Amino acid sequence: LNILETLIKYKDEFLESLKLNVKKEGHQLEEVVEKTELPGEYARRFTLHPIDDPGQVLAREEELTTLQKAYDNWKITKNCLLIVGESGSGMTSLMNANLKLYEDVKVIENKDNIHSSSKLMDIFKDIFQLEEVNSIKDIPEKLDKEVQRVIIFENIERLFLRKVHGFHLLEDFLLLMHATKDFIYWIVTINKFSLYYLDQTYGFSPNFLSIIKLPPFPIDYLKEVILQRNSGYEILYLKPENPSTLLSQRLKQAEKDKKQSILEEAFFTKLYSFSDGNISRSILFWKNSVIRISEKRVYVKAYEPKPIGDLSLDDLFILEAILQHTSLSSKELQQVLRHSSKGSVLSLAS
Amino acid sequence: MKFIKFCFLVLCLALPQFTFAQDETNSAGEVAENVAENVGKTVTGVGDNVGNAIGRATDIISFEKIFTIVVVILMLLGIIRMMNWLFAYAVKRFNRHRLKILRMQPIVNVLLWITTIYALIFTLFNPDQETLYAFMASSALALGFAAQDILKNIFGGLLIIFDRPFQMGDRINVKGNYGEVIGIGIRNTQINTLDDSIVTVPNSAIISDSVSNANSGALDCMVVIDLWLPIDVDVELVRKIAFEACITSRFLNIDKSVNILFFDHFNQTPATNVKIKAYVFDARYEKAFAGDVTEVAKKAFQKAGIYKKKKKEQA
Repeated sequence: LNILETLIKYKDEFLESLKLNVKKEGHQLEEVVEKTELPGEYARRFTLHPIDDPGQVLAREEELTTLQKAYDNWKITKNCLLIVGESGSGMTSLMNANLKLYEDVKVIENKDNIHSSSKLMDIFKDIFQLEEVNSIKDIPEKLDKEVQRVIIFENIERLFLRKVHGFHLLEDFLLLMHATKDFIYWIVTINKFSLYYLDQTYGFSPNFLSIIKLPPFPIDYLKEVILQRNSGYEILYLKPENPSTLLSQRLKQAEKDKKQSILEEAFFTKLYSFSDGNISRSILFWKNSVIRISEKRVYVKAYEPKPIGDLSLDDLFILEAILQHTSLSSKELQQVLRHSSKGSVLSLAS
Repeated sequence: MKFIKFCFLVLCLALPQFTFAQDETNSAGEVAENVAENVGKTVTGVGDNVGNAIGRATDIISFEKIFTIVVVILMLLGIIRMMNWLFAYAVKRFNRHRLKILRMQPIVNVLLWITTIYALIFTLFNPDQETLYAFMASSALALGFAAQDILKNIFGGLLIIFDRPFQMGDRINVKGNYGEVIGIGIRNTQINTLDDSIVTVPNSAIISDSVSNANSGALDCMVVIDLWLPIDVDVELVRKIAFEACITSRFLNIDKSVNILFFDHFNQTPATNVKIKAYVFDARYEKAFAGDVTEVAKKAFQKAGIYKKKKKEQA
């Protein structure tokens, strides 16, 4: 038995040295929940919502110039615009900053999935102020072609569901867009995972000749946003849970007053690698890193994301489906994965 | 020549006469002494020879050597088991590179065996060149007669490993057995068929027969799904349903194209054969993909009333 135990120990050490042994931790959702309850005033500073003030949209100057150029081009070529980005990458904020460019602009925000023609019809009826329309195909005839307008259609991925006959609303929308693009400048936004799926299966992108892909934010911008939201507070960076050898050495050699700047640099490098330039993920990382707030002083220790562990194929299918649609209800997931209703609920629960 | 023959004959006839005459002159005691001496010499000689033979045999095959061989082979089996476990772990951990990892496994096993046998022969027995050639020639002759089939399989195994008509993880069809290659050994190859039976095919049979390979080392493979519908179907509607049934399957490799083909058949009952050609993202889910698409397409055809038309006509 002793020999066996020793062998198992050596095996674990060997795998550890190869970094192959992933300890199965962090499977429980509870572990992801914030450790510290942030004070109300402080927590409100980090709520996730699009920015309405164009002045606050920074690091998107190039994209704003491209938007202006695309609008100028539409006046001649009548090409619609597609904006691609991750959820939480600031697409809506960019659109808000862009609104001042247009005279007559309407925004269709799709926060929920749309699966019925009647619901989509209601949206268009409301936008175009139409009353007697029987189908989406009839809309172009009812519109005044002399009036030029701009319509921002956000999250177009909300119009499809990955199932048989789940693409008809998307097709109807594209037909309407092509039928009206001479007098309506359509700006459509889409999640990058949905676009990849739709491009590979339906050839979605060729419907748009102008495409803007939002790049990730630079680390300096993310740092600026985080520090801005912390104005009035003193930040104290603590040594991370598992510091690298290099960081430990640097901290040992550094003088007292320089230690904070080294820790700050290490913290934001970690934040950037976690968020991959996504502003929403950066804010989540910050909120999970705050361990204590006392008398206008914030104690921050870099959040250590727990390894997810091995995911089963079914879990991966669920994740893929959710990424492709941005969000799915249990019933929608059931339809996408072709599960029974009980099976779908059980898959989600596990 | 004749003279030599004559001399030899005379000598043979004279020798017993000469011996007999001599015996008559010797006393009985001397004879007994001579006999005892001769017997003693013979016994000593035989004893020496047996001793030498045993000595030489124990030099070649000693208890130490046998024990060493047993220990080394046990260690080798342990190493092979550990390597197989490492391969299985690597396959699980880096599933995307599963086939690349698996194709190394038989090569590593064969190399381990060859190295161990070589090391054992040359460290324990250290044969000189002549012995080695003689041993190889005699063993080749003996094995050639006694173990023809085994040798065929071994050479077949080496050919499969180095020529690589298929690799571990490939989906092959050999002698009517279709499935995933789960083991390429020295003597035989194991295939896990679609009904989860493990078929062991001798390597000699594989190299002498045609082998079809569905994915040739790639993770994905093409799946052809046949759907049978009435002859007068609405082709446009069927194409749309079949296409959507395919692109919405979770098993589809969306990076490759989907093709829908139509064929008319007039054998007994006129029918439309719809062939869906698409790629499954992992060859393991080939049948799951085909079943998924067929089920969904069938439900959609039923909902669209495609089968009802035919029933009405028959009524």
